Amino acid sequence: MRRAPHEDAVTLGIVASRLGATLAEQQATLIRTAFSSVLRDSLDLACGLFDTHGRMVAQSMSGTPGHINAMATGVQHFVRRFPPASLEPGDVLITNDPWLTAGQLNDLTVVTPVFLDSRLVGFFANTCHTMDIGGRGLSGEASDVFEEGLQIPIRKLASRGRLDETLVELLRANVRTPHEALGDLHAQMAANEVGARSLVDILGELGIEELDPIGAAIIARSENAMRAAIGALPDGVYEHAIQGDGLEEPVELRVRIEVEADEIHIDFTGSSPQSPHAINVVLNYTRAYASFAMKALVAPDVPHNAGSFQPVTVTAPEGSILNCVRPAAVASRHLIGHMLPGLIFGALEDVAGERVVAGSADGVWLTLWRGRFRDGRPFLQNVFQCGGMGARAGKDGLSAIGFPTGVGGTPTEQLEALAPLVHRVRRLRTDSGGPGRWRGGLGQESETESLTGEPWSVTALVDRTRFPAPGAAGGLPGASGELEVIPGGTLAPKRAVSLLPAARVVARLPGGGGHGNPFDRPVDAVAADVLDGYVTVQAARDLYGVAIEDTARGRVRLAEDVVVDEAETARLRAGRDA
Amino acid sequence: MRYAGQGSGTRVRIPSGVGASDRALLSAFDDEYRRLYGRTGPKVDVEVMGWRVVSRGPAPEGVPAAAGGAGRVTAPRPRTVYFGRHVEAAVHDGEALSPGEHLDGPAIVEQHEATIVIPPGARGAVRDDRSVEIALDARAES
Repeated sequence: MRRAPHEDAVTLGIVASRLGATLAEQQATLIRTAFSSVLRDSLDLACGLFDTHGRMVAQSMSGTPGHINAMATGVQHFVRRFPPASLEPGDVLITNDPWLTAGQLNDLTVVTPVFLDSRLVGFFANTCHTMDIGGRGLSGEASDVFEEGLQIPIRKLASRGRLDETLVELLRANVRTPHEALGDLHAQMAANEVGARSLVDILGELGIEELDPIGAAIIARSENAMRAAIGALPDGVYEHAIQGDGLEEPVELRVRIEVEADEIHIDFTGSSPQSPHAINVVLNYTRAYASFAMKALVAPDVPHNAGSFQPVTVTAPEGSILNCVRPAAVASRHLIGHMLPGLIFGALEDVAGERVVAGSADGVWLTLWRGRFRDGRPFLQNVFQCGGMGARAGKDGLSAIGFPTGVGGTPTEQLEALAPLVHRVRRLRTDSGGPGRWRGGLGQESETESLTGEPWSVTALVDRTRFPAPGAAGGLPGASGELEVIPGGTLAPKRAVSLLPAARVVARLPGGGGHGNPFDRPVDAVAADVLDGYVTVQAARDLYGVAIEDTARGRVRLAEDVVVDEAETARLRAGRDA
Repeated sequence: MRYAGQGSGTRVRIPSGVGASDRALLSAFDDEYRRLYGRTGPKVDVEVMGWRVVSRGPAPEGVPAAAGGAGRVTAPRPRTVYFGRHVEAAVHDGEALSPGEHLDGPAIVEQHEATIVIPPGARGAVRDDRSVEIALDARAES
């Protein structure tokens, strides 16, 4: 007798990889039909396939953990609100409820039911960051979620193929960038429809009437693999605490990780209470980054789906900054949420061995620029920039990379094409990578000017200006971030700041922490860093114990210009043991 | 073509005779967009990012003659090459070819920029500008 696909490992593997291709198609549609640079350049998005219970079967290959995991545990709310009997072909569901989905109003989740012969077989969903959702605009200043923009409860955005024009017009009237917002919303719907079309083709071709049994088998395999990987960790309780900038006062983040057989419990008791400002994190987003960190640490190769979450439970006290209650303000929640993987890696540094990553810049730097074009039209542009990733045993940290978010930095060309702004400088930031046997990744530096001759403003959602990314295994911390306005001095983060027409805004992003003792870094590697401009001669001497003379006289430094003083280096390096 | 504000475009095949201001242009875009993405986009302007015309005509006259090279005679070297099975192929120095020369496959022409493969049964003819025109079925040519 022919076995059903979910009972046969080979067929299941083939179906799973075809579902992966379908998700790639869904994501490609989203990116190709998107309007905003946030989606098409930075990929601040997630795409997933869900069974009829709202359990994630598979995800696309890009996107941020905050979106994917928050969506993975959020789609069940859609199913609860709109059970199968209430759905029809052509329906599209939507919400931006921070507590149910990705933790801020700017993230719109669109869920499309898939029908085969008028029976519900599953859902395609995606979560995307929209540049503006009204209210104050992304900032740390709001005191409750009502100030932060338009709230859309779980609703039908379309019924039987007809858009809810009331909802669309409300959205259009409430956001500052309606052209991009509505364009991206169409892209979100198109992406799910393309996914649905392919899924129906695959099921039809295989002669299968339901996705659920296949989904359950795929999910069970990931769960089993995840449990096996957790089982390899030594049982025990691991604790760690770090600090983030906060708004007025620093924020304390504290974790207690309990590994017991094939399960892990992550608890954030002891972390700061809910903030009066917009830096609060909903539990669903806390869970997203905490479970991402565990998955990345113990089982990075296992396909990610609802099974990955089963052995990992995440708790935080209600009313704390990692489990805020309504109507807390949440717009800048990513600056805290992005620190959670580093916090968890720190707790497990001793048991995770070579897989541990030194501290990273963490929070993606988001600057929101506002002003008017010369012809009077307003502009609003969102720019992402990334600092350095922490070093690992065996690898230097990656420079200017979005870890842990996966968000891509906004290209200078896009900023300059879409807004009357110019980057006078965009470069890697020398000496920002934490020294170590393996060097931390470098942050980047940019200098932004306006061409309009009119007043303008910036809101800089940034972190790690007070607490640098820590090193690991004897490595040193990366450089802290700096924000400066010229003339003026330090620029206040997390709030809207008015700028003079001729002002220049300088952002120096934090570097990643180093791994291992920098005096153990090979002399050649230090000399290569000096040649590349990653490390100065002074830092090579003071932090790595390598004496170098830079004999370059022109604008270009050639390999032969970097001369190592072997005797002096030997003396410096011997000195540290004395 | 794309909706004004999008980052990527969609290549749309336009029937000949359709002009830039023709509504048929928009419906061709809608049709292709729907075929690719399952639906049309928001109600905004549609823009044309570029026009592409494919045309075909008789071989151009007055092909420039290649300078140098010809006359430097190098005998082709034999090499074993895999065309479904291993066969002996003649390996020619591309710089040493003379206009009018014929190259019977299997043969390889090594040039600075590229390597030309002439499979078994095909035949190459060196033109006046020393480009190589290959007839895949040599019997049809002769």
